[in-house]
Formats: sequence, structure tokens, C-alpha cells
Amino acid sequence: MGGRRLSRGICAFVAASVISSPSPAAARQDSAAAPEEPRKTETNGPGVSAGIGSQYVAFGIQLSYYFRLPHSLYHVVPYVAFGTAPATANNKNEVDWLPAFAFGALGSWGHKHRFVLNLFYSPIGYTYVSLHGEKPDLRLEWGPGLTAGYEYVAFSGFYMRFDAGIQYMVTAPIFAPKDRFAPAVTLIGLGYKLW
Amino acid sequence: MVTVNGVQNMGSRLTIFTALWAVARSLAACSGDCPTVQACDIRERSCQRDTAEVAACLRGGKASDVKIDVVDKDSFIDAQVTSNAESAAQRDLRNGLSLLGLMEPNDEEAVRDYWNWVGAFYSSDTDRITVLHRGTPLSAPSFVILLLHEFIHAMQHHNGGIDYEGHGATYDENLAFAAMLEGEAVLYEDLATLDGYGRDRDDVDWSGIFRQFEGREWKDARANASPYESAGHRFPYAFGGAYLNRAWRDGGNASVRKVFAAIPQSTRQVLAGYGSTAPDELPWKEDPNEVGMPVLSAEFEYVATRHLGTWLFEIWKDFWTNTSTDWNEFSDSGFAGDVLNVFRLPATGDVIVVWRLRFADARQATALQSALRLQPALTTSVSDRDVIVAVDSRGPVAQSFVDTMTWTASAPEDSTEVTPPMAPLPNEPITCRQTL
Repeated sequence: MGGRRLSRGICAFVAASVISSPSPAAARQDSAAAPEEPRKTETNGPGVSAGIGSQYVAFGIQLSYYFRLPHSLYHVVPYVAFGTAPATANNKNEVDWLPAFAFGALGSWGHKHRFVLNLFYSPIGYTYVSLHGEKPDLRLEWGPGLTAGYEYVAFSGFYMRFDAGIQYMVTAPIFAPKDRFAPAVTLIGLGYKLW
Repeated sequence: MVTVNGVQNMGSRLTIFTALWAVARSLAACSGDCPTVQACDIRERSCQRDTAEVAACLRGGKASDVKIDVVDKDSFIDAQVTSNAESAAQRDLRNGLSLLGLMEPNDEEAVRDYWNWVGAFYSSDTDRITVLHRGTPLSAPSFVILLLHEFIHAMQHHNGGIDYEGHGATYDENLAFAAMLEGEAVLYEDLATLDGYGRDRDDVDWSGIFRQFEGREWKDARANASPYESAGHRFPYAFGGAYLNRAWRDGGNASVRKVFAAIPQSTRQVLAGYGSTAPDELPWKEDPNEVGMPVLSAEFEYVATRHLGTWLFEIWKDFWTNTSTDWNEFSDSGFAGDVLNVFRLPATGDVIVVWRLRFADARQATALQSALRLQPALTTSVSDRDVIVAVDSRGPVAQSFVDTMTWTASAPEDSTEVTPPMAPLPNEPITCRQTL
């Protein structure tokens, strides 16, 4: 009985060794070429993108960093964006471009094709105040938002994304809570993951 | 652009935002020591109570609890026109002032113009605020600001007994008094607007804003066919607003209260601005009442007396001397006071107006007469530092008639016409929000 157990134990060890050890041919190949670099879809690294929508103020650029959770297809991508948003008073023809920033974090799942959730804080709209007809004071209003969308990341590092969801204004206290919601949309973001 | 209302029913599904809202509101809903106004349906009691509390906090004092009526604007104006049957004296006064270019001959048009401009008013007689509804949503931010303006008037009545009624013996005094009432309401309305939209009061160019406001109202009053009637909304808000705002910047609410302890007695003083002193240590107002009433033959019947004051005089002068000046800041012409008397000829229904204007010195009086010399409809004469202007609906008054006129004392008071304090129509472009 003891001999059979030993025999089975050795077989199991041998089998494990066959599976886990490179074959002599493969070992020769490895010694001849550099180790294959992981694809950009699989690495941690920074990304730079430009786009239109909530993630980008309105029109802007974004710096992000992709963190891949080990042994999974989950990614966390904090980002900060700088951009500009058009604003105009109703009775005026000229458009003011108001500079602003946005920040947030994407949570995504997938390899090249990814489902994305985006939690962010950015301008939601603008208000203008004109006391007694003076030049309107245009100002961006802000709030957190949550969107869901899609991201494609190529092995080369190119990526694109879009999303849609909702945002809630927390500035300008005059507005009633029910009037503080607004749609949040990123129409398009195009970027490149550096490594 | 997307309208805000399109997503208003999603709140229950997004509890995370409710939590965030609670945090944000606790951080953002107060400005200084006062809560901020928040848009709500002004027909709801909770909305009225909250707005009254904001008004009370901004002004200081106890919140007023008054009833709010929301009425259809068109029906209300129709009722006003119907009930506005002019008396013979009012008709003749209108005809007399129209000879000077200060009123429109058509009273119905004037009544409609007046009420079309009104958004809401507070009446101390009924202790109610009436909002003239034009079909726009009553939960818009502009309506809660409008309501706050009227609550200030209610507080003026409840906390200080300050009303349109019972103040001012003349048109000029009434206009100056109205400027203080409306100026204070404009002040706190402005502060509430800034706080509500999260703007910093210190970032506001108050002087520039009111210079522009005054300039626009001057221009509009100058172009108006009935400056006598439109003065009630052209003068008090801009010029009273500038006066009280300057007082507030000088010393906060305490300075505003001091103004109400010594209210300006003439539009001249209001035009000169907060903190100004009368030129040459003379009084702000010197109506020539001691020689204000012309002694006319028995065929003329006395109709009415008015003391019009500097605001109307400046508009009238600008019109008749074809100068059409822009408003930069008030330049005192030395005009100190006036008394205007209207008479009728019962046999024909014609009217004659005799207006005596007093200046600080004879040179200023002569300068005005020279400027008016080319106006055939006006007959003028100078007596020391007074200018006499006479107009007649039958045609130009003979110069000899004016030159040989004898005078007696005129009543120092007008028969006052009481108008409830009111707020201008909410102007949607004043404040706005757009989503990106």
C-alpha cells in the first residue's frame, strides 16, 4: 500500500514538472531572444488624451494613469483634465470660453474592449448674473457625476472611450435640488498610453 | 444645451447624490450669517416662510408673515384699466402736464404701460403681496428673488411703520421717499441674488453697476411719453438703489437704518447721492410757495398743485432745450424747487399751466430762460432767481400776460397720489443657468 502511494506521488510530481518546466526546445528559444514585453493593455502606465465632454470639462486634454489589478481584467484609472467650456448670456452674441479642470477615476473591466464606470467632479454648466443690466458675470458651476461607458485599448496603446450618465450641481445654492441634475456625457476621448 | 428639468425625476434612484447634496448644501447654503434663498414654488407656505427668513436675516429684524396672492397679469391689468375712471381734476392735470411733455394724453395706455412693468407689489392696506403671473413657472429662481423684494417692503411696514402711505406732501417728496423704500428692497434683493448664485459681494463693481443702471433709466425716462407717471419706476430703483447701496457699503445695515431716520426730502438730494451736502450751505429744497400761485381772472378755475422736483425738471429741461445729455453723474444745475398750478376754463375745457421754478441764483434762472427762448409753445419770464413758465392748450400764452402776472402764496402740499410699492417684472436674462 505504501509503495503504491509512493508511486502515485512520484507520478504526480513528474506530471507537475512536465507541465511547469519549459521544454528543452523552449528553453533554447528563451536563451536566444529577449523576454516578450507585456502588451500595453496589461501594464500600469500613464495615458494622455484629448476629448469632448464631461471628462474633459467640455473641450480639453486629460492626463491619466492606468493601474491594472494583479491577475485580473480590472483597471483603475485616476485622471485630471484641463479644458475650456463655452458660455454665453442669453441676450449676448459673444461666447466666453471659461477655463476649468476636472478630476475623477475610471474603473474598467476588460482586455481590449472594456466596460467603464466613471466617478468624477467637473463643471456641470454655467450661470450668469447681471445685476441691473451690467455685463453678465459668467461662471461655471460644479458637481460630482457618475457615468458608464465603453473604452477600447489597442495593444499599441491607442485608446478611445465614451460614456454617459448623470451629474449633480453642488454650487449656486439658489437652485432647488430637483433642478440640480443634468446629463453627463463624454462624446469622445482619444488618447495614447505611453507604456 | 440640455434643459435642467429633463432629469429632475432621477433623484430617488441616485441616493449617492442625495448624500452629496446634503454635504454640499451644508457647505454652500449659507453666506455670511444668513441662509441663502433657494428656488421654490412661491405659492407654497414653506417657500414663503424660508424666503421671509432670508429677507429678515439680510435686513435684520423679524420676518414678516404675509399672505401671497398670485393673479393672472392680463386679468389684473384689465381690472385696473376698468376701475381707473379719471376724475375731471385728474383729466385736466393730465392735459396740463401733457402740454409740458410730462404726461401722455391717453390715460388707458399709461395705466397699461405702468402695470405691464410690474411683477409684484405689497400693499400695507391689505398686508398682502400680489404677484402678477405671466405664465412662467413660479418656481424659477427669479420669482423667489421677487418675493424677497416684496418681503422687504412688508418688513418696512411691520418693523418700522414705513409705508408709501402717509409720507411726503409733494410729488417730489414722494418720489424721494419711494426711492428709499425701493432702494432698500433693491439692496437686499441684490445681496440675495449674489449669495444665491454663489458670487462674492466683494467682487462686485457696485459703482459701475449703478452708474450704468442710472444712465439707462435716465435715457428711458427721457424717451418716455409720460415721465410724470414713469418716474415711479424709472427713478426709485436705480437712484434709490444707488443711494442705499452706497450707505450699506459705508457702514452696513446700521448706515441703512440711519438713512431711514433722516429720509431725503427731495429727488435733488437723492440724485446728489449718499453723503452729499447741499451746495452753498443752502437747503436741498426751496419751493417758491410764498409766491407760487398766480392770481388769474375769474374765468379760470383752479385744478391742482404739484411740486415736481429735480428729477422731472431735469427731464423736462433736457427735452425742451434739445440737449439730450447722457447720464454720467448728477450735475446740479442750481434748481432748488418749484410749484406748478393747473387751471381750467370750464366754458371750453381748455387748461393753462403756470410753473414757477426757483434756482440758487438769478444767473442760473436767466440761463434756463435763454435756453428755452426758441420754444414757441412755452412762454417764460424771469423774476429774480425764479423762472416762470406758462403753457395754454389754446396756444402760446402772451408774454405780457406772464410779465404782468401777480402772485400769492401757493399750498405747500400736493394732493398726493398713493401708489403701493412694487417690484419690477422678473427679468429672465438677469440670471440664468445653462448646462454644458
